[in-house]
Formats: sequence, C-alpha cells, structure tokens
Amino acid sequence: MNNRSAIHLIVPAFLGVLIFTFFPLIQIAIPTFQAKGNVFAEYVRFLQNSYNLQVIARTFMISVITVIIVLVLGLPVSLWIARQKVGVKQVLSLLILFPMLTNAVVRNFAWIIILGKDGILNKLFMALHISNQPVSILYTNISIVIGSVYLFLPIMITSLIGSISELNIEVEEAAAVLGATPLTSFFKVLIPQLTPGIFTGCILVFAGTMTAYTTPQILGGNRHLVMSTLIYQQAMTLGNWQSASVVAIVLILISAFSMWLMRRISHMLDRRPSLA
Amino acid sequence: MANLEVKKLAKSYDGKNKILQDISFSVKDGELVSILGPSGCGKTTTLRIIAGLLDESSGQVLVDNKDVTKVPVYKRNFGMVFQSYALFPHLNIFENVAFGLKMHGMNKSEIKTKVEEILEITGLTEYVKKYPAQLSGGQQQRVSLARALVINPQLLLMDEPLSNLDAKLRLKMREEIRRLQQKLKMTVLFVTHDQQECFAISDRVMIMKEGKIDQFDTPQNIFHHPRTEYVARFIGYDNFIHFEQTQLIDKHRIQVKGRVFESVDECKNAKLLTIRPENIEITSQDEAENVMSGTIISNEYLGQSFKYRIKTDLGEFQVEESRKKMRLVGEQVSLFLPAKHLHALSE
Repeated sequence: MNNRSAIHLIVPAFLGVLIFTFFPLIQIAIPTFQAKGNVFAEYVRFLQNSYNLQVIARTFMISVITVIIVLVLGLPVSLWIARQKVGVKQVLSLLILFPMLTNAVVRNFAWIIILGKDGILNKLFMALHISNQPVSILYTNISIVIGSVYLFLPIMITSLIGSISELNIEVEEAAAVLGATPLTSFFKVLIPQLTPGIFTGCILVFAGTMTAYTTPQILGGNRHLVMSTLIYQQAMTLGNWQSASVVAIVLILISAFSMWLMRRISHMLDRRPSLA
Repeated sequence: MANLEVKKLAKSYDGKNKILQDISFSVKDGELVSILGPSGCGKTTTLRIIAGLLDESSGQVLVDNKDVTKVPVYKRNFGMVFQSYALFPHLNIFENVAFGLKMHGMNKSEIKTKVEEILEITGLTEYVKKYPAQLSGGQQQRVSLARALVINPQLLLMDEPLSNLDAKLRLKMREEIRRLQQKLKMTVLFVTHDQQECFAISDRVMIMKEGKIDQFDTPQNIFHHPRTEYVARFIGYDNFIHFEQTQLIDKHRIQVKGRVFESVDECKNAKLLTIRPENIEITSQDEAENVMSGTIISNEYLGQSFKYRIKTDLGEFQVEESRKKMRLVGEQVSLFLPAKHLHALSE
C-alpha cells in the first residue's frame, strides 16, 4: 500500500475528531459575535467591566501560583520516588494517585472541615497560640490554591516520575566525578535534562487549574469567582448564555496562549537536538 | 599522575553478604591495571568505591599516600569513563568536555585552550558543536575519554568502557586507549569482563572472584602460570587432571589411572594439572608418558582449526587441531600432552 492510499484511511477518524471536538466549540462561539455593528462588541463589553478583569486576573494568578507550588513540592518527592527500587517505586506511585480516586465533592468538603472557622487548622493555630482568633482561610484565594495543589500534585508527580526514570543515573555520577557538588549537579545536570517533563507537568497542572470548576466553587464560595465559576453563574443563575459563552471563549484563548508560550520557553531551554 | 593504594577494602550492604572481602592492592604511577572477572565478582564495586561513588564498609583508599577514603567524590579529582559514556545530553561536545574545568573554577580562555588541546589529541575537533546524540558510539566514547582526561586527573577509572562498541571498533579503541595512556603516562584502573581485551592493554591484571583477588600479575605470568583452576578456566585452560599427593612419583611426575604425566611445574602441594586445548597434540602412538587415548564425541569447525571434545578415562578433554580435514565423531585417537605446556595448580 502506498502512502497516498494510507492517508485516505484516516479520513473517517479525522472527520470524527473534527466534528466532535470543534463543532461544540463553534456552536459556543457563534452567538458571541454580533451580526450588526462591531462583531466583537460582546467581548469589548466583557473586557471593559473591571469585575470581569478581576476574575480573569484571579484565575490566572491562582493557576500560576498553583503550578509553582505543585512543582516545588512535586520535584523532590518524584526524585525520591523515582530513585527507589522497582517494587517500592510502584507502591509509592500508586499511593500518590490515591487521592485522585476520591470524588471531587467529597475531597473538597474534607478541606472545608480542615480549613473552616472551627476547622482543625484553626484549632491547631489557637492551641499553639499562633493566633488568638480564628483566621479565615476558607472561601479565600488561598483555599482555592490549597485545593488545587491537592488536586494536581499527583499529576505533576506522576509526570515527573516518568521523566526521571528515563534518565541515566551515570550522567549525574559523571558530573560528581568531574567536580560538581550535589547542588550544582541538580541545577546544571538534572534540571536541564528534565525540562520537557517539567513543562509537560506544568502545562497539565496549569490547564487543569484554569478550567477546574468544583474546587473553586466549593472552596472559593460566591465572592471569589474564577472564570469557570463565572461561566456557571452567568449561564445557570442569570440565564445569560451569551455572556457565559464569551467567558468560555476568553478562557479557552488564555489557556491556549499560555500553553503555547510554555511550549516555546520549553523548546528554548531544551537544547538537545530532536533526532527526527 | 599518581599511585593508588587500596588497603583491606570491604563492602557489604546487609552486614552478612560480603561483596568485597578485605581486598588490598596497589597501582604504580603510570601503570595500567585491569580488574577482570565475571559479573558479580565485585570489580565494579571496587572501582566505584575508589571513585567515591559508593561508601566502603571498611578499609582505606590512598592516592599518593594520602588517605582519600572520606573525601567526597567531587573533591577527589579523578577521571572516570562509564560503560554508558554518560555524556551530558543537553550540552554540546565542547561544553561536555569543558564541564569539569568549569567545576574546577578555571577561567574561560584557559578552558578554551585546554579543551581544544584534548579534542585535538582525541581527534574530535570537527564535532565541537555537535550534541552527544548526534555522534556514533565510538565518537561518544572518545568524548567521554576526553572529558575525563581534560581535568588532568590523578587517576583514570574506566568501567567496561568498550563493551557497548562493536567488535572492530573495540579493537581500535583499546589500541587508542593504550597509546594515550602511554603517551600521557596515566595511572589507569580498567574494569572489564573480556579476557583478551585486558591482556592486550594492561601492565598488570587483577583477576577477581567472589569479592577476593584470585591472582594479580602481569598478563604473561597469568597466561603461563595461572594460580588456580578459576583463573585457568577464565583464560582458556579447558582441560584438567585431578590428582592426590599419594599419586606423586617424583617432583615433576604423577601417575593417574596407570598413566604417567610430567609437568613443567612442581607437583608437590598441587592438586591439578591443566593444559590449553591448542597445546594438546593428536598422535598415533600410545603407551608412552604424557599420552592417553580417547574417543571423539563432538567436532566443531572454528575457521583456522577444528575443535574436538574427546572422552577419555580421565574425563572429557577439549582439543584444538589445525588440519585440512575434520576428524569424525567416534574416531579413536591418542592425545599427547607435552610436559612444557602442562601446568600444576594448587587450588
């Protein structure tokens, strides 16, 4: 079979993917454009509203902070797990994924119990005399970040364990023999080799946090809306489907742009030639 | 470079199972010493402890009479070549070789001169801008050698550096390593499981067995005077005649099953006689000293010679014979074991 006829075989699958992924998107996008006057009038109106801009900024900041915390926490843990013996490694990898098996609502209610005014954390703070009155953590941006970190840490760790396991440990030993201290070896030898894995993990976590709904809804409450909860409010509470669609499209554009930017940075940092 | 001394080095992970059992040896300045043995004999463990990549359980490593046992790996200033080459995949060849110099805090212009000099010696000048993944196995091997040598190490450690190369390249590279070693007067410790390879390039060879040194001598001495059956088997002595001290006739002769054998070595306190397959001659005469009869049970064509397995009343013998025509299975033959090739072993 030659290549040309092989290409014909993927046509049905290609059409399927095209229809089922892009058709719903197009359906959302169409009503957001005005037939008369300025085509982008709805978008202009949305972006001129300072409250909306605040929601966009909050969503973006929460995602960025979550990515950073997840990376800083995830990297040492995955390094440690990846360098264990095979059996131990498998058990630990499974344990890491365990939180993901619980229902999202249940998981977040557990955090309400921990973070609430009468929660375990506040009782601990008061018992240790760190504060005299309950601190409000729940229903703030902090609680959304905590919930998101908890949600996405397993994904980052799993992604990193994969990349670290592929590395040749002799490369780090070679660096040590050549005079590199463990710290130098970490930053100059290990991290550069891991850039693709780190960026894959970051993109997954970033996209996940940007679009997550349950966690910000339960832990953020109604006063700390992010874009996905804003969409829900516009559509279900206010019945304004057009406005909800506008937010959805803006969310998609911001996520896509951020991911493209991260890819670019990743390629710039990863100087290994790709062998095609 | 420097001399190396290892004193009573031992390693055990669980306190019971000893991977290294109090081994002691020394390597002279400018000498190439190979550690030879099958996998699991402790040769790589020894090398890694000397490099500082692995902690010893007890014992000492001395370089130029200074104890380096507790010096961390990154302060030892040794060169090491790994089996996987272990080049930095994210750095180009120049940066790979320059890495060690950078770690030692050398300035840029000095680094450039040094790196270019070593790349010249190893014939890598044209690959400066390439990345490891773009080079062949042999080229990567040379980069790894250049990277280890450029820091002017006190000691060069090589862990099976040639085993990932194909046969032809292996020969070429081992000649190159030997040439560089003699030119730069390097002190080298070379770990391998390939007997031919280590005999070809070493000043002295250390044969290890189960965490102990079985024999440590020049290749010639080991080849002609293996100390134990283990060493003999490792270097191609396939035929053994066991005997008791009661079977001694005189200093050099024994009598087993009615046959008399004479050896070049003294047989007193020995337990075995051994001979290489290519030193046994197939003759027609019987009933003489150092001769026995047998039946061919298998034949094999080796190219320059034929290899036969021959059943005798002293056990099975392997014989290599250069001859135009192959002898057939079942043929009755007499074997002559010349006394000058028949060596006595004590263990």
